[in-house]
Amino acid sequence: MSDRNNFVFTLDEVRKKVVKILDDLEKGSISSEEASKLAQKLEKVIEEYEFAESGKGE
Amino acid sequence: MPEYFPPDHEPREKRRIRQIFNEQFVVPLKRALSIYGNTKAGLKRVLRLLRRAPQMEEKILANDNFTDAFPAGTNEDPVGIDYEVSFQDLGNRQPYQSEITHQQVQEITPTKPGNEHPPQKAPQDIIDELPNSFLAVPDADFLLEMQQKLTTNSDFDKNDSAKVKQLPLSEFLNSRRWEKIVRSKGTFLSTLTRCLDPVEGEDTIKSIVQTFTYFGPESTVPAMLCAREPVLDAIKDEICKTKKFSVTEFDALYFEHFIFLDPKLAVDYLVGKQDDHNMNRHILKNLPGLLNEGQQLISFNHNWEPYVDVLSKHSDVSVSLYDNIIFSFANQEDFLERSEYYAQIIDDMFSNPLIAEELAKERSPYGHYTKLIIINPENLEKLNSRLRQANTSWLGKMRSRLDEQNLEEDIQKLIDRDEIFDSGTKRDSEELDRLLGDVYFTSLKHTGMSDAVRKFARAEKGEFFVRGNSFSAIESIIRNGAYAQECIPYIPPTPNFLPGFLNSIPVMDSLPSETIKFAQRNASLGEYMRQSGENGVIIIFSPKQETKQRSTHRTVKGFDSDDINKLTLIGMATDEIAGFIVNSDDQIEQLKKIMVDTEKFMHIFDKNGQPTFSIEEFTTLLNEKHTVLSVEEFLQENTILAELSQRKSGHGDDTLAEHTQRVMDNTGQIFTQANERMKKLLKLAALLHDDGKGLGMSQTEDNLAVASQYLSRIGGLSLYEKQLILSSIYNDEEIGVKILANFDDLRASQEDVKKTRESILELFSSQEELLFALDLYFADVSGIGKDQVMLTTWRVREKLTKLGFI
Repeated sequence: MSDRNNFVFTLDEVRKKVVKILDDLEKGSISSEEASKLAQKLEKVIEEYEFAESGKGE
Repeated sequence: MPEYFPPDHEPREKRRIRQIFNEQFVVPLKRALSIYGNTKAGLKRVLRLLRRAPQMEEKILANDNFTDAFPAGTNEDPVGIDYEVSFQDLGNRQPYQSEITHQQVQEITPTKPGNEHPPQKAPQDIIDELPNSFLAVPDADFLLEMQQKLTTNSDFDKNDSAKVKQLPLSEFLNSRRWEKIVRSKGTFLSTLTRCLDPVEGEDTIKSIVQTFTYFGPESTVPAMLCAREPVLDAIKDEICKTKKFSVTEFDALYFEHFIFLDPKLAVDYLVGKQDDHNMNRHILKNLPGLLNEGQQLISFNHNWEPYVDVLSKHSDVSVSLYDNIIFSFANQEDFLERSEYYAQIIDDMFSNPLIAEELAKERSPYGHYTKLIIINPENLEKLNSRLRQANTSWLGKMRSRLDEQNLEEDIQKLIDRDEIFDSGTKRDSEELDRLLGDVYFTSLKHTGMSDAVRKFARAEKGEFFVRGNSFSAIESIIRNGAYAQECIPYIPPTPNFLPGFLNSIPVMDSLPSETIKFAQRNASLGEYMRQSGENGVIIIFSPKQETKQRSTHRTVKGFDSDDINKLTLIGMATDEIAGFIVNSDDQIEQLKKIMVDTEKFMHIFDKNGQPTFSIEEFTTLLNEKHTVLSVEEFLQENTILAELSQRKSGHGDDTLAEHTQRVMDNTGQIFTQANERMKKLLKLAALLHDDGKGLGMSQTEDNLAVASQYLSRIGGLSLYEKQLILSSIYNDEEIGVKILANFDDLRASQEDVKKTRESILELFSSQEELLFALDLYFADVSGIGKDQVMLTTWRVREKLTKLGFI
């Protein structure tokens, strides 16, 4: 179980979330403020955890 | 703060505002995401900008120029904006009225009323051609000033003017290419900074910093691309100062882009010697994370410059400017189809005196980071010959180690242990390793022994490309013999491996007649070696490999039993070796022992070419071995804990032994579902669950590799039970990952809880397996360091309860 924080999120998952926020922002289905809050959350996620980089060691 | 309107109901004016906001902010961010999104740093950059979305929106709305340029209600259709008016109105500037840019204006103002040339474009095209940023539209005076400077060259020293002359402003401004680059990658203004001195360009530099602030480093790349060194330094200083970056952080931020900063390539690009397609390939190939797996792999760890002329002849070879040349292949078949073509490239390269010279200077900055070249076997001799011809110190060193025999024998000598490991200093050994690794052998760019072997195994499945002289790669790995034990047995890190792994005994259950014929044909060689007093092994490749037009065998002289051990292990891991002809009875026994220990079977032939190791004998020995210890005996033995007693657990000050003991104590007490047998197995899993720490593979792989080795010492376990233990070790990691990924907060939504539960259930094929793995997981969690145990255990228990597992 040790070091499992290394595997919490994949970059791909976070990236997909960012893509969705940007899409929503572009469509106008969320406001810039909402986008900002979501971005802050994701930033925090990235700060909190180390990512298991895709292709680690490749 | 601007009012938020749902899209279907927003007034036209607001809709237009949003459109501009999208063009200026959202679209560039999306582009940045597509380029940087594969890295953590890149995502952070995009998110940092996204966080500032409200401020950006405010800024755009507050911009007088903006409202002047797009007065509400003047256009029925948002895409029908008159861009010429817009540009003119921006800051009351008139950049496109200058003579220099007139043509450009014609090209980008298709919708100008009354302007019949060029013909009307589709609205989407017009949008596509919009500049990315209105914040840095060039000032007319500035453009004129730049033109004058470029025309007179008065402000440049000789060296610089030589570069600049290749690219007079008028020419470059009239170039659609340039316009396209500028418009697609950044701001018009910033690209001109190449002409500026730091003092004169102060405003421009500020503007670049501003661009950086709003749009991230990507938008300033063209400026960096073209900046002369003093300007570049000034920009760097300013950005570091403004953004409070250290120089190191700045370099890291721009790492991907500094590959552009070579003036030669930049100029080639700008004057059209490098077209967009190549440049884009170049960019993509060098942005980390954008390469698909398997899309590598020839990589030369050298300064790029000497190669460029040679490689520029080959349109689909990309050259990175810092240290690599990368030939990319879609897959193995792709390489095989094109191997001749690439062989030609290699041939060209080694024919080039500049490259030979560069090779001579080459010193890898990456230490152990071995870079290898894929070379078709047919070209080995060619390469060998080139190396011999090259009259340089570096190659001379290599040459001195080569005799006039064929390369295979040369290599054989080089890999002789005496020469490598007894030659004195560690440095010698590393040097030799590097020499061999860099030049001769195949594709594995690896960071360690186990990593290399793992990749090799993956290569066999076509995930990575290793073919041709792949056995040489094994040999080069064997040279790092000290590492060999850590990588075997190889276990792929997926749950599906388990039945496959344990059922893979033996590798081949019948002996192909071709192999027997081969063994008999070559037996005299074994006898010859015996008579000459040498130990020897002839390695027979697996028949499946013989179809690839490669060697069917290889003779290895002078290997001691330790080498054979490693060779056998690696051969088994890669399934490349079908058998051995061994001329020494001692070594035959040694091989048998290895195969039994590792539970893998390969054929062994004696010096007369007769099979000496049957599958029946193997099975018998295997069964004997399994009676070594019962589960109870093994658990009581506790030698593992003794072995772990000094290793750190990763949890506070605990040793691994302390952690493991605690996990063992916890098992069977937490969940009541397990029967006595299962509790015992669980204890076994607890004992084995974390023993592989630090072997060099991923943590899961390390743990599994070590656990499976220990399991082979235990008798009385069914295949299912072994699988259960190994899968629980694997899933101990996986459960934690899945819970933390979707459910780290106990206040998680019901949807997240459901998703997490489903993703965990997917790991298991039976309730029993699930409970077993959960037992281990919870025992493991509860077994972490004393200081953390209360909170963590509570949280995990709560989560498991919420997930419906307890």
